[in-house]
Amino acid sequence: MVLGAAGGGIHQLFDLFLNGVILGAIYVLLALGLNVILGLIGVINFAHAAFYMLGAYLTLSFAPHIGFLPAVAAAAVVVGVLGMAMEVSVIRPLYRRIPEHALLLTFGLTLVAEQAVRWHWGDYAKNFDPPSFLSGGFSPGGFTFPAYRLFIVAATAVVVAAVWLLLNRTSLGLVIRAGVLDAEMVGALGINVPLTFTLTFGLGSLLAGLGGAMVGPVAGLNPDMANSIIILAFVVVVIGGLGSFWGSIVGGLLVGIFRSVLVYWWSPATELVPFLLMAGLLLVRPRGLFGVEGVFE
Amino acid sequence: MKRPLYKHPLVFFGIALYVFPYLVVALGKSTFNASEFLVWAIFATGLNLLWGHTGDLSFGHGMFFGWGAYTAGLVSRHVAFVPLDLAAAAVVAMAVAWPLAKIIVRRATGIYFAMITLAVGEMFYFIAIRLTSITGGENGLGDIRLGHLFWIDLTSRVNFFYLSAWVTFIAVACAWFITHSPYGRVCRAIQQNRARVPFLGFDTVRYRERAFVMSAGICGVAGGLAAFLFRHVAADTLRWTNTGAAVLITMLGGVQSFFGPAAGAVVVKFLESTLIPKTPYWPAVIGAIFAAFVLLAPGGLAGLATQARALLRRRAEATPPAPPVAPALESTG
Amino acid sequence: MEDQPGLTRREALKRAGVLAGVVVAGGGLSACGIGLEDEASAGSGGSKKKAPVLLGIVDPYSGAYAASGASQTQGAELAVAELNEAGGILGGRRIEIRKRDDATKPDVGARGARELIGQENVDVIVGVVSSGVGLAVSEACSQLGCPLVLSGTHDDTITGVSAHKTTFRVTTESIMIARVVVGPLMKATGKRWFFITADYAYGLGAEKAMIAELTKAGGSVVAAEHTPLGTTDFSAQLTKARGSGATTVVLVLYGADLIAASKQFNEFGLNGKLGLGGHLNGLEMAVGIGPDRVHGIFGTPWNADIATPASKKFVGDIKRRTGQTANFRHYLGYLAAREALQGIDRAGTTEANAWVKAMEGHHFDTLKENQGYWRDWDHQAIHDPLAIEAIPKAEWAFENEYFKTIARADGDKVAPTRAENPAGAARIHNEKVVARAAYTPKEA
Repeated sequence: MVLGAAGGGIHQLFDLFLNGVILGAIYVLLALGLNVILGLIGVINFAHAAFYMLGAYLTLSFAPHIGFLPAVAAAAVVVGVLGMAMEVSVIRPLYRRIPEHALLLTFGLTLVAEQAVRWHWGDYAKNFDPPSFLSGGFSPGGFTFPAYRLFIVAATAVVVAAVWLLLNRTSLGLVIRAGVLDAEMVGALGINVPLTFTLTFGLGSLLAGLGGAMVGPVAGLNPDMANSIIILAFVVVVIGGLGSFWGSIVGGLLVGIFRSVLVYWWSPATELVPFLLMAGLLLVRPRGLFGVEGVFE
Repeated sequence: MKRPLYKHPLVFFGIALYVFPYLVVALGKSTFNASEFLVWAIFATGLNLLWGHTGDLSFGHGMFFGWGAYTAGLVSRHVAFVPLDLAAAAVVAMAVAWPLAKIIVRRATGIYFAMITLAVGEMFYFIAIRLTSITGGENGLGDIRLGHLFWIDLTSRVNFFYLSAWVTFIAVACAWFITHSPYGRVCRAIQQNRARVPFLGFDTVRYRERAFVMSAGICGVAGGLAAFLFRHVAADTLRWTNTGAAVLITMLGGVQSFFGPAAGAVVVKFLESTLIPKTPYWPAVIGAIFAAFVLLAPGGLAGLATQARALLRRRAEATPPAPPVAPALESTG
Repeated sequence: MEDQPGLTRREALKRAGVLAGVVVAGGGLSACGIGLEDEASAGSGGSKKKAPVLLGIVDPYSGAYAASGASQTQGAELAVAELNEAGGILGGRRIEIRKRDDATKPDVGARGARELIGQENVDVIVGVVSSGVGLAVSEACSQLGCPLVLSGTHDDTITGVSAHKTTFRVTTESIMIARVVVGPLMKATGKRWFFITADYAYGLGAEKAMIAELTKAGGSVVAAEHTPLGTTDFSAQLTKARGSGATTVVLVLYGADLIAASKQFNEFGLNGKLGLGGHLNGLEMAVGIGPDRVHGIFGTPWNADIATPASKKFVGDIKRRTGQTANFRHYLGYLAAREALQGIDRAGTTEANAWVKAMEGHHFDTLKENQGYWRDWDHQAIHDPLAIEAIPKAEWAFENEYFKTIARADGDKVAPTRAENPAGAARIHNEKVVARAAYTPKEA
């Protein structure tokens, strides 16, 4: 189980590391979306994964008509709007109740969403090729990295930066951050809290939709996508810390890198890695790497 | 105000169990289905011990169902005595639950607790599908044989049902005595207002831990029974999707009631088996009904029943001023 | 919610005892169930004048193998249509189909089989793609005494250590495929192989068979990575393969997994640098990967470029009915249904024991050059597996050809011998067919 293998151990490790960053990018987007909603509103949106799946399928449908990149943007926006619609119609009445109810409702809606996708787009896994201008590859030192995957990393970095700017340099962001700490007080200051909640829900959903929109060409699409990704999203959020911005990023990257690199040494562990990380963290630092004290404790 | 024994809810429950298969068959299903409904009734009741009665929603209790199922299946290869196999299932489930409770309960509550338990269940799933020599991996554990229980041939569906009925009765009775004991009342208090209970001098963590373990035991029994019913254990039982089904059932039945989850199990599984041949999109129907209940009737069917009873009682009491002409027009309930 | 004070332990125990006594008095196990039948009633009793023969199909319509399941069912439906047009079987009875989705999950499949048998009263079941599901369904059918012809489950254990007397399997099993693929793949790409395998019955069994053939021929295994069914990202495994010094990447995968791995193999620029091959491949995957992007050498029980008249007719029929070029899943579904139903016809009854006897040893038309037959000691269909190679679109002779046949093996030579499969022989020999409860067999 040592670093030796036919053909350059360190080199391969670097490749795997880079691959892990690529894997992690999608987790980051998902976790960020969940955390934005969780941090401010205190609600776990189980349908987050369904939004991810919808983002992927909508991109598939839009792309032949308006081109790939516009399709990604459009899909993300549509999902964001859907999220806002959902918030206004069925989540809002649940704010007075314990947060588990929102979790349960969105769980039920996920079941419906999955079947809707199956009904509209069919049961089979769908093929989705990256656009031709992104289908080459870079080969630093012999191993080819698909250009598309690098695009995902770049796009994620841009989006994460945009979200940071939103949270830290705009008045909406100020309201959100204040709301995380004390939503009641924010309302008392005359700010339209329900609108803020709705917009935040939209933002979180948009991030999920964007993640899904970009992941289609990498992994293919199938109606089971939501089920498989939801756990990872949860685990990353737990590892990074509930409601934490930096937690989403560090947690997502950590999980991606560990998964990729561990294949090298001990492949049966790859699926277990996220859970082992989570378990370890739970024992040592229950609130997650960047968790805020008092939140959900 | 001591209630006479023959009016004890468990007696009614026992009678209902005896009559149950006739009802199921009359409605077009089979005795096999009836046993299946009972498995889920046990599962839901076990889950609710932790959820409705103690206030912790675990999204991972399917793992104990799975642990129980595997245990029962594996033990039955060596000791072909079903009650013992089921007891082993319960014991193993509780043994696994104990360290988990110790780690998780103290550190998490609410939806955080739900997320972590969900993840732990998934972790066990990934472990189980790797341990192919023990669990059969992705194929699952097959070839589970049902022999005889003393002189009774368990391969007969009818006999198996009555075995299930007994197991259900015992499991539900255990749950009953737990919830109606002093211990159970403290758990109830925790469910209603966790912050306040320590001021009464109780260590909420210890009570929650024990509830976690005991509910795991009951879920384990459900899993064990399922192993004998289906003669096959799939690793999928450990996944959150399995717990999700139980959560859905429990909520639909009524989280705040005792028999609600069991009733919910029968209703949902019955609905499911009716829908499956009709449409491949049946989970959407169940999901939509569930979402509607969460939104509009969070008390579940039991809650609706209580409301209906209250409504009827109010109607009966609030007799409208009877027009002297036609007393027969008085509203009846 | 009661207002009475909580129970003391003694009270509780006393009540429990009394309650238990009450219920025991109410009905002991042996006195129960008066009036309940053991299964759902057989429904149409004897009143029917030539009730239809009911064919049950358990196939995946969702999950990783959904596309294959749909194809298998279409094949079966073609067989049923042909037989019905020819006047039906068992004395002119029509054949009707009842379906269940197995969702590529063993427990769902087994439950579907039980429902088909217990509630829909089917006379025989065909189908299944995933070997894991196949094992569970085979078990269920055996316990309930229902005839079963598995169309597409390749794992050797199905006619080996988990064989059942009521189970027959149509497709050329994993070891047969391995024996036809390994030679050509070694010749074309090299001797050091890197396996990426689906971690369940089929994948592990196929990998084992291929490794055995590889080492016999002087090759070596560089690594064998196991991925769970439903994996979508193989980047880590492919990265590892790249630096491993292997000559060939061998994808022992199927369905959506195979599509993802194949695409990512291209994406990572491995095409041309490493050889590619696998165990099984078929059109339903190739179409998902895309023309000119499918590469490598694989195995299959049948390919659309077979030139026999029967095969051409079959391809034409499938094209007409579904608009698709036939893939080997269509073929397997067709063969399974046709054989299962003709077996009933030959036996003159749907009773399981008679059906088994009518099946064992029977020779049949495989649509290929050589006939096949049902081997009596393991219930495996013996016919010729093929090795196929992906060809670029420019070389296609017809729409969606994707693969051309490059080798064929004699079924008898590559099928496991009695010495290689003693468990299967013993199980089938010793097992007694269970009498099916609450069921009246249909007669000619």
